[in-house]
Amino acid sequence: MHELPQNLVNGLLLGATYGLIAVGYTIVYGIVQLINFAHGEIFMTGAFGALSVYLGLGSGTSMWITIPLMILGAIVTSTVIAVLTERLAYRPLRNAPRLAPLITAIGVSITLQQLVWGFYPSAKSPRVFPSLPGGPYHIGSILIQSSDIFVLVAAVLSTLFLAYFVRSTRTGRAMQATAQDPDTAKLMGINTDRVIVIAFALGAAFAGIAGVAWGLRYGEIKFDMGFLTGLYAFTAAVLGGIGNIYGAMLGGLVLGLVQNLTAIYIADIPGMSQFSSQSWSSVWAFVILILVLMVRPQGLLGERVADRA
Amino acid sequence: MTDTLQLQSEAAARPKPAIPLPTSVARAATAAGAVITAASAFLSWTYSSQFPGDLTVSGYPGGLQWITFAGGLLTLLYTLVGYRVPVLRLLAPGGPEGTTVLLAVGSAVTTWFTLIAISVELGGLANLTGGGWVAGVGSLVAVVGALALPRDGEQTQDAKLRVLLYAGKRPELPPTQPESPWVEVPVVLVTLAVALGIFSYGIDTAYAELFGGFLILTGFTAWALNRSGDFTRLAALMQRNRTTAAVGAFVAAGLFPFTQQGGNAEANANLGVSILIFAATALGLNIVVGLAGLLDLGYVAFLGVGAYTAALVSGAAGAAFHVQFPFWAAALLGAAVSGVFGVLLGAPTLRVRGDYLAIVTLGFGEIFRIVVQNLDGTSGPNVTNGAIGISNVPDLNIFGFDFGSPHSLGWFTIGRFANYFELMLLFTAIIVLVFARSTNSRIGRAWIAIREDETAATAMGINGFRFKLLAFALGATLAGLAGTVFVHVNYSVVPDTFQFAGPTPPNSAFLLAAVVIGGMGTVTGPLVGASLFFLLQAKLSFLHDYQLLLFGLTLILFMRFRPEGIIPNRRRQLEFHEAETAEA
Amino acid sequence: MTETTTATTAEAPTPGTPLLQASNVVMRFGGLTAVNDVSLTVNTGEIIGLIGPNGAGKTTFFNCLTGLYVPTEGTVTYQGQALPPKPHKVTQAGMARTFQNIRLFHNMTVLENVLVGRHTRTKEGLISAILRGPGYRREEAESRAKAMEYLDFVGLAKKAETLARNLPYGEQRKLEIARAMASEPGLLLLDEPTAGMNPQETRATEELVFAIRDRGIAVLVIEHDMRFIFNLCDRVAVLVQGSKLVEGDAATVQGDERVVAAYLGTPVEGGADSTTPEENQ
Repeated sequence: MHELPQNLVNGLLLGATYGLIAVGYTIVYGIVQLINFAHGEIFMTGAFGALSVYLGLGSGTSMWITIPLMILGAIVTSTVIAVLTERLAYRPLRNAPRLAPLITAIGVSITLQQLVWGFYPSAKSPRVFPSLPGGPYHIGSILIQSSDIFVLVAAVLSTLFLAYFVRSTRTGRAMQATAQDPDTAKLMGINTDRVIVIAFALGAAFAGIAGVAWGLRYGEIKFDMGFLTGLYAFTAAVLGGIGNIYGAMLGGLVLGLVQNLTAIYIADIPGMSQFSSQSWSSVWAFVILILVLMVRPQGLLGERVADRA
Repeated sequence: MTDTLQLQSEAAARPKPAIPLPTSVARAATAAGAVITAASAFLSWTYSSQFPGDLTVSGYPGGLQWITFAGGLLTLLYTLVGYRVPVLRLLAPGGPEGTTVLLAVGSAVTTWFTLIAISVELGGLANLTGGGWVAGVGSLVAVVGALALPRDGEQTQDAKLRVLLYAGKRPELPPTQPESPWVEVPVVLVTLAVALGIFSYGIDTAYAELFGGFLILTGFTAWALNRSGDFTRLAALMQRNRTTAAVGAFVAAGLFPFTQQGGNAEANANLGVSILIFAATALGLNIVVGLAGLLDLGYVAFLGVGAYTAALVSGAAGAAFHVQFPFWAAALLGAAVSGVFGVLLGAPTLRVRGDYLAIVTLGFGEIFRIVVQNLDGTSGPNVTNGAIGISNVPDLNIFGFDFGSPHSLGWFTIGRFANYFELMLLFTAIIVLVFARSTNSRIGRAWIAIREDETAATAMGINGFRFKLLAFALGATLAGLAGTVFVHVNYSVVPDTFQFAGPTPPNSAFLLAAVVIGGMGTVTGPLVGASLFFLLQAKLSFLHDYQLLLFGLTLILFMRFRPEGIIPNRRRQLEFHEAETAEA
Repeated sequence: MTETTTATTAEAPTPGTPLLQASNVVMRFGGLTAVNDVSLTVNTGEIIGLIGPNGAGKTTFFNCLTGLYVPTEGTVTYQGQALPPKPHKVTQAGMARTFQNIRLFHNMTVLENVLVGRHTRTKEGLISAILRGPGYRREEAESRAKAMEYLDFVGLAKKAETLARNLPYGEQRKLEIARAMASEPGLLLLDEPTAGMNPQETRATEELVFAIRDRGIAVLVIEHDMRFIFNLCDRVAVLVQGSKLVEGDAATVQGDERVVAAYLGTPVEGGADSTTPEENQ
């Protein structure tokens, strides 16, 4: 399967999904310096929210109505859950030692997974997700599914929206200010609690969209799909430079490409052919993470921060 | 006991009891209720012998009635403390009234838990006999009486917690003078014997209802004894006699298999050895997390490295190498290989920011699992036999002592798992020693300094990276050591054991939780945490589907309300409640 | 502080051999030059002051000396040896520091804090800590004795078992000094040791610094409090906007018009009756 163009496209599409999730890690980390372990689960609940909408509408409804409503359902589900966890679990720990919210995040992650596993109808095994009609389309030797187009459009629109939001809205600027210096931001009259909630909500909305994209592309969703995907997305956020929103997108794209290409090219290294299979791909992703942290811990677009003595 | 007298004189300024009754009436009611509760255990509670434990017999207690009996007696004991009975007055230096409230409520909850369980399982209240009603009413009388007692201890101002903390907080206790060793040493020994007794009883509870009742009463009693100040006094006593206490605890634990001679002996010993392996691993993790402050989310992988190493050199049929090392060599090799992995992982990652470490270690845990899964001959070279794992690991034979078969010792029989229990106990003792001694040394101080303020620590000449790596490697080594026993106890090793989170221990999330919930930076914390996890998991199997959910919620709740864990480390407690005291 | 001497600036000891030599140190962050071509020498037995308005780059310069930052240009040598740019190696070499915003190990006891300070002067490793052989016991006992001696020196011996966080502010500063001295430095760097102190405490700190110097330890001190600096120091260097404006004894610096203009705003009369505008910041 040495089809470079096809692999590039697949890598970019996978990476765009990572990027959408990574945005959530990066925004929240930038503002409260918390690795929100549960973000992968927010992504997963988004997908299940969308599936609920689909099942509620019934199969007779037109795709042009179903899909927007599914996206809406995903965004609402993810956002509500993210805001609730922020309010109930993280906020009371804002001044606690850093280990405390991190452990809470692990607790939230497990809880959300188990809630879906235990209480969402027949979610103990993978649930079939609807697919988009039309396609596949051929562009030269490249095969493109309709869901791929969805991912592409979603990623581009989301990034544009985010860029506008952060630069041109009051809330976006307040967010940047809080990320730089929360204490001063508070003194300047910024409601930092509100900014933090918005950061969680914004990240969750993108994760919800990513959940829909994931379901459409792979045709099924699962209660534990947020765990590994979340880890990759976090890797993407670090790769791009944590705290940097464009970095998250870029990191996602790079990681997606690398994951797709290593799987192909490792086979060409003499003696390594066994290590090229799909089952090794996550190993290579983590190897990349460790390499990045060693060589450029600030990420591709990150800046060095000096420790103030 | 001047302090209790002072408490009396302050009573005017204190919040009023929940139920307005003269104190003498309240105390008498509590005592009477407690006596009735305890006595009711000798009556028949139900007509049907279908409820486990057979509560139909009058004349002596059975099953859950024993729990109610114990609850009644404990309540009575602390009510008598309130009467200032000589000698008993030495109990409850932090005030007897709040303690009595907790014990009365605890025994009422267990009693009603039993009554409700009978009604639900047998179908209706009609299944309760008069004896059952006596128990229920008696325990409620005790609660009413206790709620009318004057309130002592420190009362909370927090409106949200007013009901929950009705019994008050333990006041600051003045330090005590050491008693003569003729008093202190027996107290230490009795305490250890009681602890062994409680643990043996708990592990031998045959059905979920009994374990549930046991757990409720133990929980309330622990709360009550913490409130009464008895735990504080005991802790100080243990601290003064720490060598006696440590050796005594070791011996008491060693006696555990001798308490298990019934039909469940092997199952209970298996549970015991699993707890020890898990606790020993958690102690290793406690060095990394609790002392050095490094969050390691892939720690179970080091247990796996040790287990796989030992399996590969055990002569097992499925192993890729057909060699059989003597166990001491396999154990050292397992620990060493695991330590090397710790260094290999730590060297590149410990230089990065602390939060990243959590993710990298999580990634490493996953890599380990995936790699051993893939080294099966098709996806990679055959080393670990892939997902099937290495099975038929032979039993140990050290100096002709066959761990695989039971041995008789006088009247006692020590089965296979009990043999391993004793071996693992030895390993645990070593790990406890390493933990305790390294904590209280130049090395341990460097770790804590790094955790507290890394910049200041380096300014004091501590090579932060080197010491973090040392903590990481030591933690890995200890886990590897535990892994070498693990594989022999379980006959086999499979990749799926070493997940980040799963329904069965050990996995990284459970290990972390044992440390966090037990108490970071302490020796006893992970031991208590590990015991709780295994007992809950083994005894409350009907909760199996919701186990992980409850686990996740427990983590969140603990971080919110008791971040220092069940057994708090003095330092940690201060650190976590810094914000609260600053506000106050 | 029983052995405090009555030394004053008038009878400053003759400068000894150069201890710390910073030559042409430059520190840039991105486009910002925080320290620009600063050279400074501290000799044995000296107390040197470093003053300057807020944001003049004093602490940044300090961090360059102690290895927290790697200077963009220039060299720092200690006893003729180039200092490695690693804080722990700097301490090992013989320079210890305190921090502007006290950085104690809050949840350790006072004694434990000082014992951490002994780190570079002790060497027992993990294995000996576990085995607890005679060598280990001896070193630990010796370490504790020395630590108690330093606590006694700053007047905190009675509070050895208190948690550091429970000390009042002034005593926390003293503990930080004791902790730094426990590493047996040849040069002690104090970053605003009197910040937030009342006049009595400041006076006591002054005595303490003299006592430290009398133990053969050179001191480099950053301060805002003019009176404190001019009473204390053999030489004072003034840093303004990252550059060294002037260096000399108290009289020279106080008489320098550029200093007056750039920093003090109003002239200072012999160090008496002067308040500094920064004191309250």
